[in-house]
Amino acid sequence: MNLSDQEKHIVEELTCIVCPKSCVLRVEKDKISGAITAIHNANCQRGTAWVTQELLHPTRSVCSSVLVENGTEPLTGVRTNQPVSRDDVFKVMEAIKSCRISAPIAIGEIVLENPGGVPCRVIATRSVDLTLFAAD
Amino acid sequence: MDKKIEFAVAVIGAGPAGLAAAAGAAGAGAKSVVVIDRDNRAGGILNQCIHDGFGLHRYNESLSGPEYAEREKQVLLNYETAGKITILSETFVQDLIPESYGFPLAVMSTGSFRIIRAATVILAMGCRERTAGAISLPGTRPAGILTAGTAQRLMNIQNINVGRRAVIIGSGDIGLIMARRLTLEGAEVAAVTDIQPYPGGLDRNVRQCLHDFNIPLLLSTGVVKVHGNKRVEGITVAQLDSKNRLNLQTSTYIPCDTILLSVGLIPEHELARSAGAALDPATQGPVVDQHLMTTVPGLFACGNVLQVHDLVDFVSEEAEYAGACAAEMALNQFRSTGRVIQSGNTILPIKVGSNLRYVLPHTISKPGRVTLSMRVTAPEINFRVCVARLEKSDNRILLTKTFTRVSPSEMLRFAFNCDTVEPLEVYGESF
Ligand SMILES: Cc1cc2nc3c(=O)[nH]c(=O)nc-3n(C[C@H](O)[C@H](O)[C@H](O)COP(=O)(O)OP(=O)(O)OC[C@H]3O[C@@H](n4cnc5c(N)ncnc54)[C@H](O)[C@@H]3O)c2cc1C
Repeated sequence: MNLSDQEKHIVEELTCIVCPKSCVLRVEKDKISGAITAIHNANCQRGTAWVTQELLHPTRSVCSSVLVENGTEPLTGVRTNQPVSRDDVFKVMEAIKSCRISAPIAIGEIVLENPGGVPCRVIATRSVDLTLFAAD
Repeated sequence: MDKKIEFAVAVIGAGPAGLAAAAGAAGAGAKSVVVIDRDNRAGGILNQCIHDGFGLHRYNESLSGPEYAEREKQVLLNYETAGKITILSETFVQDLIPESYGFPLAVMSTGSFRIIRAATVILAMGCRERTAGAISLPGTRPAGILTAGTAQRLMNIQNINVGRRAVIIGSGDIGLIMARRLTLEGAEVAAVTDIQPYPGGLDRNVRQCLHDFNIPLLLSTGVVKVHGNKRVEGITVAQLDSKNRLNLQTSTYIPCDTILLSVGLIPEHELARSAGAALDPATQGPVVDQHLMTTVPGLFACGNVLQVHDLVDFVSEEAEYAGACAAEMALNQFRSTGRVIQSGNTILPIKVGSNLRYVLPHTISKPGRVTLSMRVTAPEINFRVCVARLEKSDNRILLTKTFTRVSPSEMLRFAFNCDTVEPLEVYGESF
């Protein structure tokens, strides 16, 4: 089988997010193996590193909310303290959804360690005071 | 006759703009600053933005909205303890009437109404979302149609679920962020649509909020009809032809129980208008000079009430500057003359040239450093913005800034050393 160059490759365009310059990187990937065969338009090393990571091992911060008992508000915001593998996002979410904490909550407080077995911490991003009224 | 000036500077709104404006004013020497907000917690819209991405420029970190707000509140703490800044929460500013002697602010708090008098006022009221009525959404008006920001508040602060299967109209950042939030919470987002041929939000958000979850983005697509009587049952959308008319042959029905609208923000400009400030039809915010002063002497504006920002870092930067300018005016001009007048210098307009939707500031009154903000009318690759003398001549160009890529979703902002007192034009072009 003799595939022409065009058929062997897929081209993806990504806007680099490393700095505000926002270079548009053109990446050629092997259609079958998914391996990166060329990166065009990268003006710096950091851009090349970012695009390689983003295409081969993307990571994401997970942001959500957690139920708060006895608080002046029913929820606090939470986020992972570092990005996790994109494939683990829903595992982290499951752990966050089944979690309940009690007021008062301070910003930065650790809510979960290694949620769903994923190596990271989930920390609170909004403070919630203890309510003076009995829970209704 | 009680006409005592209680405050050198009054700031309306305690979002990131109001907080930074107060810090800027106190930092410039104002000894009495009041920040007034109708909410019970300072921070404005940031309190409901639990996603991260805030503070990359200002703090070199990717913070969530509430964390960013907390940092800004920390900055004010010292001034508060020193009695220089007072924050009035759960207080609504109802009216603002410029008088020959300072600004009386009519304020309402639970069960009381009073007048607060300040030498200068900074508007920092943020913006509001355009609604179904504003875009004349065709079809019925059942329950289940809400703005993306309202859905965000319900889900992120009040713990109220908005629906199980949603279609999001408009691909602005708030819509994209909500598409991800709904998906992570277990709801399904059937599609995000936009009438434009390009997405309204940042590329990064398109990637992380839509592509990550295989949510379809339907561009050049309009709404034919909303279906449902009590609750939304579905929506029919169709592609727009080259003349921006719906091509009904392409009509597609998408079943859903929720429709979120992310179709633009409008500066909360009522107080500016009632104070008699001129508004810019392009930004819908007040017309300002390089010190961010409106056409009403002593009345300043910053943050989303001035122009809709996509990065909170720029909101804080802009607001600090407005605060310093307002303080300076209160301390110098007001203290010596008992009134604030427009500067004696001639006010030179900045003309908005080709390919730009708006340029701020609108006028320049004296030479010095000027921060220009602007948005382009359409996405372009290899673009430059030129600051030039309006008068056509051989060496009219004063400054050129080049950009690899520009888009209406990203505000362009750069400083310019203005050493001329001639009318200027700012325009953009591809190269
Ligand atoms: C949903 C959403 C998502 C965003 N995501 C990002 C992001 O990821 N990264 C980023 O950098 N930026 C983001 N932004 C942009 C940034 O958050 C805003 O530009 C910024 O919050 C605007 O600040 P502001 O102080 O002008 O307005 P606001 O935060 O809206 O604050 C205005 C305040 O004024 C008060 N107020 C209004 N009228 C009155 C009155 N008459 N009397 C008393 N008080 C009054 C209101 O209660 C409010 O507290 C986002 C914005 C939104 C809406």
